[in-house]
Amino acid sequence: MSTEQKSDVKSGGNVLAKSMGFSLGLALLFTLVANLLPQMKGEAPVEQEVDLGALTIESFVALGESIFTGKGTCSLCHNDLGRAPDILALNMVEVAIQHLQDERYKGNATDAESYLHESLVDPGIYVVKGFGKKGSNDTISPMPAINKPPIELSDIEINAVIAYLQAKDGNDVTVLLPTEAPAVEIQSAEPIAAGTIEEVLAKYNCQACHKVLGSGGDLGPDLEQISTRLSPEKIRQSIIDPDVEITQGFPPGVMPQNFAEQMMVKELEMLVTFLADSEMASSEKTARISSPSTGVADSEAGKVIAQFGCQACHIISGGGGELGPSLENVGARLDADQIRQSIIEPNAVLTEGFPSGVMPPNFAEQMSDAQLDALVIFLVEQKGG
Amino acid sequence: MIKNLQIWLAAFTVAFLYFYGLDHFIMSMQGLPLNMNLTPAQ
Amino acid sequence: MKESRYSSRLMWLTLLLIVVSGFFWSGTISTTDISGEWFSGAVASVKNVSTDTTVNEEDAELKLVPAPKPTRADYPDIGVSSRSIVWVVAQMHLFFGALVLAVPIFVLVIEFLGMYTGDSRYDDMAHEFMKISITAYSITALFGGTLALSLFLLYPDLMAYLMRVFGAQMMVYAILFFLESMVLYIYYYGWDALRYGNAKWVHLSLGLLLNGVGATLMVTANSWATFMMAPSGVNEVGAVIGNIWEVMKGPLWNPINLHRFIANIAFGGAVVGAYAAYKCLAARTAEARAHYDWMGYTSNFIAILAFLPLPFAGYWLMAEIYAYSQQMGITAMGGILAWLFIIQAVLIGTILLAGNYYLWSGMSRTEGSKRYQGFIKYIAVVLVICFLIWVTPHTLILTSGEIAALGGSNHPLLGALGIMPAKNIAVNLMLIFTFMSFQIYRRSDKVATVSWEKAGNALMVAIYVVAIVNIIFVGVYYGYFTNTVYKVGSSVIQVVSTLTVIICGVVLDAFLYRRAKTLPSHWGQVSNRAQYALFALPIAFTWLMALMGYVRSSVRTHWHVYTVMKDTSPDNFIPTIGYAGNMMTIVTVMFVLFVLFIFWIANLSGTKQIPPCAINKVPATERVGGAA
Repeated sequence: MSTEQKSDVKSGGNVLAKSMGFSLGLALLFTLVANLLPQMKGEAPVEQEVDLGALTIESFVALGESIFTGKGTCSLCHNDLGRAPDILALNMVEVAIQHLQDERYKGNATDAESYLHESLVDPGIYVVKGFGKKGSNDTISPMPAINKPPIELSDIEINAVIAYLQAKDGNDVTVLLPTEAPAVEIQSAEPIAAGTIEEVLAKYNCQACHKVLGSGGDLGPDLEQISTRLSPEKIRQSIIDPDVEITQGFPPGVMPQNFAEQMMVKELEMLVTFLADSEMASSEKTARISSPSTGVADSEAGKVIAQFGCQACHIISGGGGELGPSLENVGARLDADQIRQSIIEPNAVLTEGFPSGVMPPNFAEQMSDAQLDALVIFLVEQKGG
Repeated sequence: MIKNLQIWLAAFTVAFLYFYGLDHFIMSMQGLPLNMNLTPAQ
Repeated sequence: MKESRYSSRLMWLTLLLIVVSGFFWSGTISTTDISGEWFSGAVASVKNVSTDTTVNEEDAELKLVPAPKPTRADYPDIGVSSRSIVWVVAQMHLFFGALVLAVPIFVLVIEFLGMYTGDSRYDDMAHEFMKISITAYSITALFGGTLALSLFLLYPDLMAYLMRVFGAQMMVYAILFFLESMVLYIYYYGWDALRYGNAKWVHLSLGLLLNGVGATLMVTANSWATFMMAPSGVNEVGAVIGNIWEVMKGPLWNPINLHRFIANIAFGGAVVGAYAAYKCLAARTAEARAHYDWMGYTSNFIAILAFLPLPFAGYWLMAEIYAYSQQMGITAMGGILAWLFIIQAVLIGTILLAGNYYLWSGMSRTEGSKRYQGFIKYIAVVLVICFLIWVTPHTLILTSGEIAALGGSNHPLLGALGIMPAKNIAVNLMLIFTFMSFQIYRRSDKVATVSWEKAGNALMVAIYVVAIVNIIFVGVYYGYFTNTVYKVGSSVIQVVSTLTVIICGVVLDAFLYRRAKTLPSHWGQVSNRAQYALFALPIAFTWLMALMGYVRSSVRTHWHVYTVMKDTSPDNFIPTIGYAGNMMTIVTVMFVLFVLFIFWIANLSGTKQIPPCAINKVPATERVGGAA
């Protein structure tokens, strides 16, 4: 009796060990599969304060893009899988205008911006053919109202998305930058706005071309007395969209078009206020700030560099701005022909990391051949160190 | 032998008709035609 | 003697009447469409809750209190991740809850079969199943209590809100729980007392009642989970505006109810199957081995049969989720959670392959199985191919480097296999071929004697062939040559085709094998390896349930109650699949350990110590003190 019991216990223990081992092994196999797959965490949106005064159109558009793929979860459906119109592949401003003209459109929007806004907060107003809820014959949209839970975008965030939708295909951004500063949920930190007018002028290298505060170049019109010629609105417009009205005697297309995108609201307003106040802008009343050190020998090339304000954007011989690539070692990167081409046709070949269309394309017309040659010879020798 | 063939033919005919009707029924329930000529649905 | 039997029967009947009326009363309260006012009034009067509280509750409702908005500081921090604690405890509660709700369902059916056929083997087996369930029941309750405590401790604001929304329904739940316990104990301990004759009918009624109360319990608890996923009966900010029925009857309630009901049966079958397999392997006598082999076979039969329609219930649930919120649906199926359906495929593949393997091995029990042996290898090949197509991923979230290496976000060759139509074909074929294994097994020990045998077989073969052709044709034609509208429509055709095969197979065989000649079969004559398939089933089921719980919970993203109450706790992110996988293994292993405990307890109750007197030949009276 007792031996039989013992063998039972033994075989029972054996079976137990085997079946447990088998079960555990199988569970571990499943765990292994789970751990082999790509590991992704679904983070909840984090509330972060954004200094709206420090927003530029560019960063506003970037905010819109991050909402589009992140918090707004737009890209969950609006992609190339056919669940919803593929917004990234469509020019949404053109699409909006088409939809506004559609007889099925019943909303109150009048332009692309208001249409986009309406379609975000009340998606059912106009349902794109083929994308309505099943069985609703395209009268009910499956899309949730974006300003309601669970997505709950704020007005500012909705505007940022609209700005992104407008900007991504090169359309003008018509939404206004927000001025009040409630919390916006984004993840990226924003740059800090310049604090004083001198900092603004230095940051954007205005004095490279314009005379203001008693110093500066003469590529562009003198700004010391600008308030006598232009209203604050005109001044603002001339900064945002320089080529709409041109001061007599100055060629169009020289002043960069993208200041509006780079400048923060605060900076732009500071600049406009400053320029509109003639007393402040004139050299007699304000402290003179030093012009950027040229550091270039008083050679033929030096004169050319000074005359055309190259150092407004490029570092040459230890001095200059950073809008464009440093030219201190340009001779090591490019040969003479490439350098010449880059002056004449700045957008043909771009240095990595620098956008096209910033450098004026008309230097060739303004420079004499001798000046160009002198500049090229000078730059070829700049090999760094 | 011939009877066997008849049985099989009948069985397949019944099954085929059933499934054809089923396909028709289910698609029409969703307001769709069977669409056998490869045209994309509208 | 006669009189006492009569009076005891009368007592049983009275008891039954009380219990039944109690059940119907509670059922009325919790499931019918009644106004909130009457509801709270009725419950208050029954439970002797003072009228003041009721009035206050009503006032609160009238004032439309929105859902609380706790900040991170409002969540108690006990040093361990709150979510992990609740995760483990809730999952354990769910496993055992599923087990104790499921087992009485098929126990009732088996008990009925036993009475109908007069075969006492059925009755013994049903009784043995209940023995497992009864220990599991206390563990369920213990985990339920722990879960409630941990929820109230760790998520006080959420629980306060849910209490406010569900109000007195929670008390109905508690009452139902008492009722369930009482009926369960009567059902189990009254088994031998109510074994024969009319008493058996009373016992069967008790079983039905037990299942009724159990199902009501389950759907009540389900309503909490579905409310959190898709709240109804509340306004935009979470203030209660509907009555309790409107709160409970959210868009996902019934799909979840059905899905859980079916899944529970499959799960319960799998777990008792493992019990049988264990006992079979450890059996010392051929008789015991035969008994537990048969029990294991029955359990597997239950598990697989319940499992076959499960994908369709899941399909309905998913469709309702999409209808409720497309965003939620895509989060589950196409977003961050999409990867997990690869694991799901691995798990379901494991279940189907294990189930099939067990059936094939089991064919060695009967002599008649030789007729069908040749089919097995083809079925195996089809299953494996379908399985591979199913796990082929389609939409992957890749890095740009990986996209460049692949030449697009889909693999040039595998991309075509990765999309839904191909997967639908694969899944449906796997189900059809699993059913084929099943049918072959069922047929292997029988020889039909009906005159229309040939025609019946021809029809069955024709249904298989045409259904398979239909599924493949519809999948390929609508899936690859037309647009999305047809894809959705065609998947319904595939599903119904599969169901047609299953239903026709069951019905046809029932008639075809009436009065069939039965070939001898030898229970216990099966390889030990086959028993391990019965261990694979519950492990895969348990893991699968844990996985689906992770999805169901994660689609709410950073919401406690979707769109109504935000989750601002430190754990408000969706954890990675690897982390979740580790949690699932932890709960699975814990579950296995607890189940072993239950098996051990079940064995213990049948073990009797040999009286010391029998060994030492000393009079019992001296040793035990004469108490006996």
